[in-house]
Amino acid sequence: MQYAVGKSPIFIGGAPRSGTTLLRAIVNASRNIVCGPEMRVIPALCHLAEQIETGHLDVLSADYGLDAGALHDRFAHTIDTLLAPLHAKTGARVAEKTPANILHFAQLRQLFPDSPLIGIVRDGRDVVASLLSMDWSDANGRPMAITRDAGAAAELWVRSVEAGARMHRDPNYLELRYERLVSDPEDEIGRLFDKLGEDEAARARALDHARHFDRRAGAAESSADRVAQPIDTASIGRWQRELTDRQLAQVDAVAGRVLRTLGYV
Amino acid sequence: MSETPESEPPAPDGARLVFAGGCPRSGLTLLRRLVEPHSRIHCGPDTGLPPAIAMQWQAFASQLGTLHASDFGLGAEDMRHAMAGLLTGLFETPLAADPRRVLIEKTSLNVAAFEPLGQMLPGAKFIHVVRDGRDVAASLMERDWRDANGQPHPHVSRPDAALKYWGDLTGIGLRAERALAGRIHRVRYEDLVKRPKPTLTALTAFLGLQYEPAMLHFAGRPVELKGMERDSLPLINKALTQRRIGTGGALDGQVTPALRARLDELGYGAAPAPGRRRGKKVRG
Repeated sequence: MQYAVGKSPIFIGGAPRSGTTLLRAIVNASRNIVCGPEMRVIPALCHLAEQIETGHLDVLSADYGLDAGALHDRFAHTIDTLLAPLHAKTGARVAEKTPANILHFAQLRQLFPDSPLIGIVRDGRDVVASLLSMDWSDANGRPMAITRDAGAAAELWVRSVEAGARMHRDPNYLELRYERLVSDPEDEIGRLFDKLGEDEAARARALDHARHFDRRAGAAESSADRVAQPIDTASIGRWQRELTDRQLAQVDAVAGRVLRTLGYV
Repeated sequence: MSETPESEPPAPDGARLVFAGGCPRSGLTLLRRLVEPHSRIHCGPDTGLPPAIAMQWQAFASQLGTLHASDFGLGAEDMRHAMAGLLTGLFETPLAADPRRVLIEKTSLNVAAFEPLGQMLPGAKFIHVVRDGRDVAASLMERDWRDANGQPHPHVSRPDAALKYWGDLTGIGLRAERALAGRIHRVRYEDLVKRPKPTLTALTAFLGLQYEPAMLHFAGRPVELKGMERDSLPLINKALTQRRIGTGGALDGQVTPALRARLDELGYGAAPAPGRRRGKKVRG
């Protein structure tokens, strides 16, 4: 099977509002990598692949001649097909940065054994504060619970962080911290570009990402305007201004243990 | 991920793929028993995959199509091609083994996705299996099917809900018959058990195949039933019988005017008496 975008597209993920759009701007600045806005299909496809593997693989294997490896090939080929137009348009290595990718990194590793998987972690309290300022709706037009309920937002943050943590032994997984990325971008971008095999020139461009960021792409991205600005640390600790005591208590009840493990508390 | 398998997947238009569907307990597993002995038909257990993939494709297209076109250069046809390739790729091995073979996938809830499947795979065909809604409801009431929370589904708990379930799914199936005219063939359970040879002859002709006598001699042929198919285990290895016709006659009083019209539309009039001779065998 031929893969249009190569064997190792890059996948970026993290809890929503953790800095994935900033990461997109940084890798795009390298010129060797193209990362579109959120495509939002890969988590759904991975979920489907997981469901099939869990519930249907015995039937597919016995009666349709499809084993786990062949199933992974089919899904990898589908994702490759969806990423192909972006690659064809630019000729660059493709990265895909839908935040929920992180929930399926283990499955993506099955589909793409050689792909770099990049996770980003941010203080869960700031993530919750940011989520509660969003006006996102679900497919039925109803406000999403994670934008209204601090506990639901914290639950998603915990699930995302724990999904990343399950990849820590994977040699091609890299976990970045938002706080380090904005306070010491040279060092954190260096770690990222070392993992991706990017050179010094690409690193220099990435440090000046705002000059290269195309805000016309990704009109649906909530952070596009913010990411078009030079990196700053203004959003670190926003929870202190924005979360109520009750919301903080909700976050602590759900995410306190993980926040402490990560050293945020 | 291997880069050089032996061959590319088939063109994703669904040629030689047939999706059979209908309200659960309408005779899909019996259909499998009858068609599976055919030398050019592969019909395995339900996979549940066609409706899941078709509905995912619809969700991508309706919710994300504009975003994909503007930001990824990914048009509607690109998305259709990708999802069609995923579905056909899952079934390519049995088809690749014999280029004359037809594969029938018989997940009952395919009926809920006949139309999107037809749009996604313009070369695919469809079999709509129907059965008297009163008998279907009676059979549903014997099931112990529960939701993810362990609660029995309403359509296996209350006769009115079971009848409505049948009405809803046959309604979707009939709309698909109109939308996919020429590509969809209706099979009545009652015809399968009363007049199997002409019914199977018409079905195989629709599939571009010849009727084969082996189809009526399924009872001696071993088959492993899987998943919800096992609900049909008590009957499925026995000769064809008409004794399941009319088993839901007692529910006739709960048939609403709308469902009565649906029964009439499908050729089911007054509730038939249950088959009188137990185990009455039918010859083609």
